[in-house]
Amino acid sequence: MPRRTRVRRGTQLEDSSTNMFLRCQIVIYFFIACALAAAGCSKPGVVIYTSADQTFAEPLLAEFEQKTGVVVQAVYDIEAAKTVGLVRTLLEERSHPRCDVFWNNELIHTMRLASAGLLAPYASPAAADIPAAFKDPKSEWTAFAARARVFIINKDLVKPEDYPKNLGDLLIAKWRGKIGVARPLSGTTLSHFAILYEVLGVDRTRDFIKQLIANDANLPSGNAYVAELVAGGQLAFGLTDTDDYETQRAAGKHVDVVYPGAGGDGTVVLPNSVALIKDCPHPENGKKLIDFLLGRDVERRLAFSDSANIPVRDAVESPPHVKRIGNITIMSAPMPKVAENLDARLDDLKSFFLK
Amino acid sequence: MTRRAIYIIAFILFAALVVWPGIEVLNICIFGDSASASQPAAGVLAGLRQWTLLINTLCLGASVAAGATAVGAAMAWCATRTDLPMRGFVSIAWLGPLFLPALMLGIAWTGMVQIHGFAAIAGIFIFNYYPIAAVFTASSLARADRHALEAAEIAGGRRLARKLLFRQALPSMLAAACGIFIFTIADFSVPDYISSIGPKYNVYSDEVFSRWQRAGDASGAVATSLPPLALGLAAFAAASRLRGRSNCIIRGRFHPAPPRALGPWKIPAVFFVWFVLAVSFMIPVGFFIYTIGSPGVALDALREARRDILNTMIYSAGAAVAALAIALVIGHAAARAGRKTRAAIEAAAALPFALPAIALAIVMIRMWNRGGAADYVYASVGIVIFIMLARFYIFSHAVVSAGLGAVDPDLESAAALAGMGPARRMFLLLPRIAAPSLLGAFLLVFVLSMRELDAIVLIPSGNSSTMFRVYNAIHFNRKEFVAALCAVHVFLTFVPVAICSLFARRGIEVSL
Repeated sequence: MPRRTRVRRGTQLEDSSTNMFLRCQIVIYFFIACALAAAGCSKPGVVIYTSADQTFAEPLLAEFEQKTGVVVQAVYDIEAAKTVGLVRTLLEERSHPRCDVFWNNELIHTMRLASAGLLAPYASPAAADIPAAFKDPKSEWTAFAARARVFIINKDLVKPEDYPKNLGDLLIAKWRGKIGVARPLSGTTLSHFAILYEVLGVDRTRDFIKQLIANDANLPSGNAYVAELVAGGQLAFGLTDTDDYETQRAAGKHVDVVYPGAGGDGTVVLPNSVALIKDCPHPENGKKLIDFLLGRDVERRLAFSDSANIPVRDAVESPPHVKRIGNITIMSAPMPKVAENLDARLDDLKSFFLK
Repeated sequence: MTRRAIYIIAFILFAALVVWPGIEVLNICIFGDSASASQPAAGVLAGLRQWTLLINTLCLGASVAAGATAVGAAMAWCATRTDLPMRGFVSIAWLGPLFLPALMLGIAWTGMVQIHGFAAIAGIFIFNYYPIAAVFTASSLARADRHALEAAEIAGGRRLARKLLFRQALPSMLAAACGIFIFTIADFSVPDYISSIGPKYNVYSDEVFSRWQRAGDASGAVATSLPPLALGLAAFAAASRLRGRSNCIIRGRFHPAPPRALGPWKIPAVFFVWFVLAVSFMIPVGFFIYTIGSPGVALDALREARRDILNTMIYSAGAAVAALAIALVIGHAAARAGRKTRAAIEAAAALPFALPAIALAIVMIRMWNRGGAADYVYASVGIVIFIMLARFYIFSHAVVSAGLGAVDPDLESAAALAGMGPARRMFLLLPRIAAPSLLGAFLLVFVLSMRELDAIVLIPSGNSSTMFRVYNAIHFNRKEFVAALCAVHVFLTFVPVAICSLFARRGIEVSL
């Protein structure tokens, strides 16, 4: 049947498609209206870039919003690049910063930003009781709520007398193919290996890496996977972060933890750090947010969360399964030098792990 | 507004938003990048590692293209040329994987079984992209002429008839394979995620990401995207030629060929078809629903990620609308232009699509992260809309220009004689006539934008999106949350398509 087509007064053409066309227009205009409404609503009072896990950071930031009425726009890292990605973005935006506060779940990259002149000094009154070792002398960053690099052990596969005690135990032939370390190209494992370069020296670290690879270490992309593989019984033990161990422990997995190097080189401890960005668009709100994050309550809540962060202040309460900072033998490392040499160390690590 | 003014405005927008990113890639490769410790492109590409990446990328792309085309063609043959039970349902159900991003398919299957390495990556892509081959092949097989097949059968038996059918479908199958190849080699998230455990399978898109994020080498990252760009453009050129061939098969009066009885092959065919549907969509979605456990978990996830979900819908719809608006004018110009002009426009539009999505994102950051007025785009959802627009414009263009190409130019002349101005003809008359194509173009770009992760993973404004949230949450062992978000995402991608299908009285056309 031919389609009915009519031209009226030279301007309007009606046919069976008219209704269809109007419906399409309505649907499209609805989408546009939604987009405009949403765009109009999103005016941030403070912008934070954070590599803290979204799961833990989001409720804290929501609480800050509620308490202060300041709208927070949070930009999180991606697991494939971790802090490195956010640092990259901050460097990209240095001529016209968008970010006000950088909350980093490790310290080394924050120190690099400080050396690059991207941070503004701010001595938060909330950090008055944080020990000086966790504060920048120029007040460009403040550290809190630490994580430690630990061994996660599958209790079904490793007897207590065989528990690893230091990094050298990753090289024992008995555990060939049954040990795991995240690829040290980003995140805390990169920081850990960068520290090893400064503490052990370049040659010894390279030897360690070669032997680790020769011992058929499983090299997943992140610490969470190491913990998961150990908890699942595919690996006997591995090197991970305390929060990843805690996730498995809280899930009821048969795992145990060892802080390496007690009585020896010590454990690598990596605190969170928070800093104000130089020439940021909302400095006053940024300072308010920093004060909030450095408060005792946030550190206590991070200790009691699944993240199980270690408070750097003695006065902050923590659950029994979270070790007190005073009870950990911390590996002593020249952190500014670690930060300075990080790029060179990353290039060296790539030659081993990125083929 | 005159016709020329409309064309000029549209071409400026097309050049600025779609073509410029492609040009910027060449600019960075040739002149380097002042903002980073840049290496010349030749230096980056001369390394031995490039060969490994090239071989890995080619192997993955070719395997997925071959596998997905084989599965898709077999599905299409079963659904269009045989008496397979419920074949009408099958030819709708095979679209399911298009609503389920490849990363989510990977999340579901790695959540159920231990799969790692090349085979797992290829398998995930094959079962996610086979619908492209199925749709292309089915549209070609549906044009099989009864008389031609009967003649072939008389002359050379069933074998010759099958050969004829195969020859008829081959250009469409190969065109689909080229498209699948481009999608595969541009993908970063699936090889990265599946390689999280076990040996790393390095491909170019991963290398682009790594050079930018970890090494901060913008020009190195962009230069690394040149080989996959060349491969992608070659595949696009092949697909365009093949598409032209597959469109010139029907001559004279057409009688659709009746389906053939499967006979003893019925049970294996039914098993095969339902196995593919189950593996590619039903089991993964079932797994998500099972993992969610209770509706409360899904509601909590919705509450927690509502801003991300809304943002995802906004930028997907925004990109689809913007692409449609530009494609309406540019597509019209292409439909009315000569073959060479049409090919040139298509090639320019294909450039951002053929780039690895990560490289496109890097270039867009370079273009919009300049402070001043550009910051309004960079700091808002605008940049995400622009990235999606650049990446998927080619689809909107192809569908709209095909739709407008079928509109008789005399109709436009008649409307002009009746006093209708150029703007009214362009924005009222043509959309009404070609509404099914326009709707198809809108939905196609919407669905593709909803699926996309790679293009937004580096953009701060893209951070608040469902795909980003899922990509990050899988690392925190939040299985219920991830499952709920995946299920919601699939549902929200499907709903607009379902609504439009129900209300579109003249249907939806996606002729590429």
